[in-house]
Parts: sequence; C-alpha cells; structure tokens
Amino acid sequence: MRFIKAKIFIFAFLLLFIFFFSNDFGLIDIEKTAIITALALDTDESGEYEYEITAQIAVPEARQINTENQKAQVSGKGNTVGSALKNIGDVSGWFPKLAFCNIIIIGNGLDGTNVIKVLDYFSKTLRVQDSALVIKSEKTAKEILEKTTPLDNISAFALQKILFKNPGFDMDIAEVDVKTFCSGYYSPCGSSFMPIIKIVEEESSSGGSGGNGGNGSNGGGQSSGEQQKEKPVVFDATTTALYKNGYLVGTLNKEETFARNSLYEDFYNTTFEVNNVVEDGEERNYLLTIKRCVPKIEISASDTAVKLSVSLDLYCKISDLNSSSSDATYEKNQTLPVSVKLAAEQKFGKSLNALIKSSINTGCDFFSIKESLYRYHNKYYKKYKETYLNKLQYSVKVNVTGQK
Amino acid sequence: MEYQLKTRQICLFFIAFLPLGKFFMMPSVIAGITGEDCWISVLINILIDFAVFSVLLYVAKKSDANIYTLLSRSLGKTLSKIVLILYVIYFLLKSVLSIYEQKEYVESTIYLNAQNVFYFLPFFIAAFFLCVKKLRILGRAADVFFLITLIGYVLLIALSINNLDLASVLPIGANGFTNIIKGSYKSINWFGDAVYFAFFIGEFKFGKKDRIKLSLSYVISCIMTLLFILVFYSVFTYISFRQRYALTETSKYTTVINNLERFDYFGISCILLSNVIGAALPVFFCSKILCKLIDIKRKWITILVLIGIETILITVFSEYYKSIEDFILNYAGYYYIFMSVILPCCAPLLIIKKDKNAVEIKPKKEKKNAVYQS
Repeated sequence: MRFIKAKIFIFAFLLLFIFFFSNDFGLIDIEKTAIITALALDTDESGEYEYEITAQIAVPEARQINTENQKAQVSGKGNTVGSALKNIGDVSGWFPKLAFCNIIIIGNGLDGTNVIKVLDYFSKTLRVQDSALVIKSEKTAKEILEKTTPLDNISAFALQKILFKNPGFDMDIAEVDVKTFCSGYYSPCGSSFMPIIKIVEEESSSGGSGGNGGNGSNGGGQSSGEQQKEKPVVFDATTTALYKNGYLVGTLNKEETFARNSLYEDFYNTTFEVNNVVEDGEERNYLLTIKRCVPKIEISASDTAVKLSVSLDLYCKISDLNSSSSDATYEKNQTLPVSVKLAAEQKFGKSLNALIKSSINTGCDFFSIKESLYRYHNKYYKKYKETYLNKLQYSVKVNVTGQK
Repeated sequence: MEYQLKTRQICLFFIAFLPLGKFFMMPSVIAGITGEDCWISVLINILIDFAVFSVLLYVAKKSDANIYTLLSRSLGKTLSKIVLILYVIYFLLKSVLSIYEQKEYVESTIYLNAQNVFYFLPFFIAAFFLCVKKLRILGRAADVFFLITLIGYVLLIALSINNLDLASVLPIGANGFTNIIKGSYKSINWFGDAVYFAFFIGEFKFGKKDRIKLSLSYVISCIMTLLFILVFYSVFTYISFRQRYALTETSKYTTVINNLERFDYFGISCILLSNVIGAALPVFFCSKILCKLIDIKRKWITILVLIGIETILITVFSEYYKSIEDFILNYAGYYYIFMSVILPCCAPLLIIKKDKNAVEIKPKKEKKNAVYQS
C-alpha cells in the first residue's frame, strides 16, 4: 500500500510539474499574442457584415535605444462582436488578448442602433475588463485610432491620459466604464451616457512623437509616410452623449457636462473660469479652484408630483485673475469678491438648470430619478414610472463661498 | 476513546471551507431570480442551515458515539445502510456542481485559450489524496487553510468597498415572496452545510463552552456568505445576473487595480486554493460513507472508483452540463431538502432511543431492580 501511495504521489507531483512549466503547451506564443490597447467598433461600410472592429495593438520590441511605442491597427469583420474579434485573429495570426484593453470606442455609424448590442459582449465576457472605458466618436471609431497625437504615438494611450483623471486634474469628462454603462441600461431608468471624443487638429506640431509615426500593418494600419503628412491632433472629451434604452437621444455640452460632474465626481482641485466680472471699475476674468464641493440631490414623491432638488455648496480659492494691477495669488488666500461669487453661482445655476432640462427633454434619466422612486418611494413607483419626467418639479440652489 | 478532531479544528473548518463554494456561480443564479432580494433568499437558507446545525449540535452534546454507530444502534443495520446510501447519492449530486464550477472557473480565467481536460486533473488527484486520509485531515487542513481563506476573502472584500452601492438592495421584498422562496430553493445545492457536522458527531470531545464556540464559528461562516452576496449585488446591481463567476468580478473596479493591474488575483488564488478542499468535501464524505458500506480491506479501491466516477461525470459529460445543472437546480432541490433539512432534524430521535436503552441498563446498579438483574 505504501509503495502504491508513493507511486501515486510521485506521479501527481510530476504531472503538476508538467502543467506548471507547460507555458500553455506553447499554444499561445508571446510572439503571436496581440496586446490590444483599444477597440474601435463601427458598422461595416461594405454592408457584407454587421460590424467592423479595429484593434489598436501595442507591439513591444526589445531595443537598446529608447524608442516610441510601436503600434499597429488590425480590422476584423463579423456579424457579432465576438466573430469580428475572432476575425482579427484570423487575418493577423495574432491571438487578440483583451486583458489590457482599456478603451472601447463606438463609431458614429452605430448612432441609430441600440449600442448595447455591441457593448453587451464586453460586459459578459471574462476576456476583457469591465472597467474598460466606453467613449463615442464623432466620426468613425477607426479614425480615432488612426490619428497621431503629440502626446503619444499610440492614440489609445493619449486617450487614456485625458480620460483617466487623477486627483488634481479638472474633472471635466463624464467617464463611464462598460459595467456602469450596461448597469444603467438594465436599471429601471434605462439610461446611460458616455463621453464624445472630438478630434482637435493641432496647428503646430510638437515635433515629438507625433511625426515619428507607427508601423501600420495588416490592412487597417497606416504607413509612417502617410502619418508624417497628417497634422497631429489632440482629443477633446468634454461633451457627453446621452442614451435611453441603448439609443442615442441627445448630448450634453461642455458646461452641462461640467455641471453634471460637479454632482457626481470628486471635484477637489477642479478649476473653472468666471469671466467678464466688473471689479474696481475693471472687467476681469477669474480662475477659481474648487477646494470643497458638496452636492446634494434630493428626490421626493407625493400624490401630486415628483420633486427633484439639487443643491451645490462650493468653496473656491482664486487661482488667477487678469487685472491691470493685482497681487492676488493662490497662496495669498484672497477673499472672494461678491461679484465673483454671484457670477459663479449664476454660472453653475444656469448649467444645472440646463442639465435638468436636457434630462427631461431627452428622457435620459442620468439623475436616476426612476431608480430612486423604485428604491426609496416604491409606493409611488407604479404611479409615476411612465410619467415622472413630465411631472417633475425641480429646484436648483448653488452656494459659492471663498476665503473669509 | 480516540478523537479524530478538536473543537478548534471544527470551528476553523466552518470558516475555512463552508463559505467558499458559494462565491462562484451561486450569486448570479440567485440574482437572476430575485434581483435585489437575493440576500433574503440566502438569509433564508442560512437560517434553515443554522437551525439544522443547532439540532445536530444538541445531538453532538448528548451523544458519545459517531453518526454511524448512532444510526446502526437506533435503526438497525439494514435501515441505517439505506440512510447511508441516500447520503451517498446526496453527496454525489452535491459534488457535481461544486467541482464543475471550480473547473469551469479555472479554465475560463487561467487557461482561457487552451482549455484541456488534463488541466483540471490535479484536482482529482488532490481529492483522492484527501479521501484516502482519515477525518482528521480536515481538521489539519482547516488549521492551515483557514488563514489562506481569510486573506483571500478580506482582500477581495476590501478591494470592492469603493464600488459598493449598498442602496441597490432596496426596496426590500419588491420581487415578491414567491421569487424569494424560488431563489432559496434553486440555491439549496450550495447550502445544507450543517450535514457535514453530523459526521463530526462523536469524533471530537464536546467540552464545556464548545456549544458557543461552534455556534459562533458557524455564524461567522454564514456572515461571510451573506456579506459576499451583499457586496456582489452592490457592485453589479442590475447586471449581477450576468456575472456567472462572481469571484473574479467583484474586486476589479477599484482604482488601485486600474493602476497596478489585477493583483486581486492573489486573493482569488487564495480562495481557489482553499476551495480545492472545499469543493472536494462532498466527495470526501461520500467516500467515507462508501468505505463504511463496502467492507473491503483495500479501501483505496473504493475511493479510486468513486473519484473515477466523478472524473467521468465532470469531464466526459461536460457536453450535458446544462442539462445536469438544470436538473440539480430545478428538481434535485426536493431531495436536498429531505437529506439536508428533514433527515438531520430527526437526528435527536437517534439519541432518544439510546437514552431508553440507558434506562434499561442503569438499574443494574440499583438494589430495587434485583429481579431485573437476575
């Protein structure tokens, strides 16, 4: 018995040893693995398939000198997202590895369709992180990936820089990940949003990485010669697309997006301008830094109406102002002039009012009023679930304070 | 009398292994039926389990023999064998989903590209090793794996805290009583853990404060399950039912993960490691019963056959997994209720009968019963 046991254990040990060093039995060679950094989802222009998916692939190369990140774009077509991704592997010979894919771009060709049809794949599969950000392109999604920016040779990395905001940066982008987008879609509100990416052409090139270009390959790529001719671009994501039941129903402009973020994002150290304020007989522009932002959204329901009350309490410091003579600096803790305070309150008040009206007009319930009715005022849920936006009574209150 | 286990080891056993099987597929199954009320369905099952555990705890306190002796003493050889055969079937059924979940999870997360039947073979080898050992191996394993489980659990929960929307479980009971009960019924495969304790009866010395110690550790394991369900639903809210494997998902949204990549896999690996024993528990107890039923010298042959059956069930019949899963979740529940709730609740009858015997024997020492003595 002892002998048999020993044999079994030696056999088991060897077996485990083989698995440990199997390297997946060499089936996935690192050379054949494509590290996808971003995916662009478009409709197939030829009409043969439903979707065309372009993957931006980082190509790491071992070199002795420091070089820019090399990239390639590969497109695949299919009638489902999964088949288009599979097609990428088929045409390139690379196994599309999505674990590092942080950005999913939706092209304008999908505007008239239910975007959940394409995004659902990413929320269900374990292959891609649900924390990948979703953005909408003003043009085709593929174009975004093909652009060269002075920020990084790989446009996906440049996009990440503006989308993943660290504390201390302005929270001016309404970022959303796959999970949150899909969760909004399946929630009682059926409402979601995502930032719109606009391409802003740079007049002067930085002369840095932008001109160096990347290696295009496999159909979707670009030659470095073509890239050199192109003007470098930067991206703007300060506007927001609104979705109701998966369909695009409207947009939020820059001010509305900013106002929305003041209610839902960490606004510490975000700056905003208050322009044309008359102070000491002079028209001045102020740059204020928000040091404290306390938003309050109250939703209540009664037999007669649904009420939304939004209040915002901001504590700001003057960061800069243009004046013919001033010793005001951020460090000096200058008191906030009344005219600036009023102008700031007016600015936020106007934006917040416009934000609520956008929600009512488009039907995109990004305040989650319906969800709130369902969770906290369930007895009114049946009564108002279809008409709550029409019967909405709202109020906005903004209070801006500064150094006292 | 030589005891196989210590009370401490049983306490740690509850915490180390009992909650683990519920972290894979179960949360999404219940969320698909009861939505935000999934935690109520779980709570119902937990309360039932705890009630059964309390009954068995009473039996353990009063009894001086193990479950096999109690059964044969009270029911006779034939009837006790029938009961044990019923438990063999119960554990076999129970083991299918728990092993398959672990297999599918490992394959779809670690061996995504090249899934192969041999990747999961080491599990069966580990299960065989476990089964050939005596009951005390569970105690020793609990001593070691208890810490591993806790590290994994705490890490995963801590990483999820940032993304919790605890209000998502509101309104309470909105999905209706029928759905809540349906959720409880369909998830019963993952509960019924109190039955394991029945096999510990008489295998440890029941001390003075053991009742409190054991109850407390059982409650901790229940809280771990309930907390995980709450965290899972609070992270995924309306798309919870689509997240088949909760374990990988709950922790990955934290900013730290975005910056440092998936180090939450450390916690996941800890849970997976402990669950090698956790998933093998039904097979372990099944093998112990089989070894009692089949009286052969080389017991490892019985165990090898059992592990072979499991391996075939899990690997060869993987194409029928959907039907097996549907059968277990939809129809086997009644059998589970009988085996894990009704039958264990009858356990005090085993010691009542024993008490009667004791009354008959006791008078031997008394003068008044001299006639009886003669």
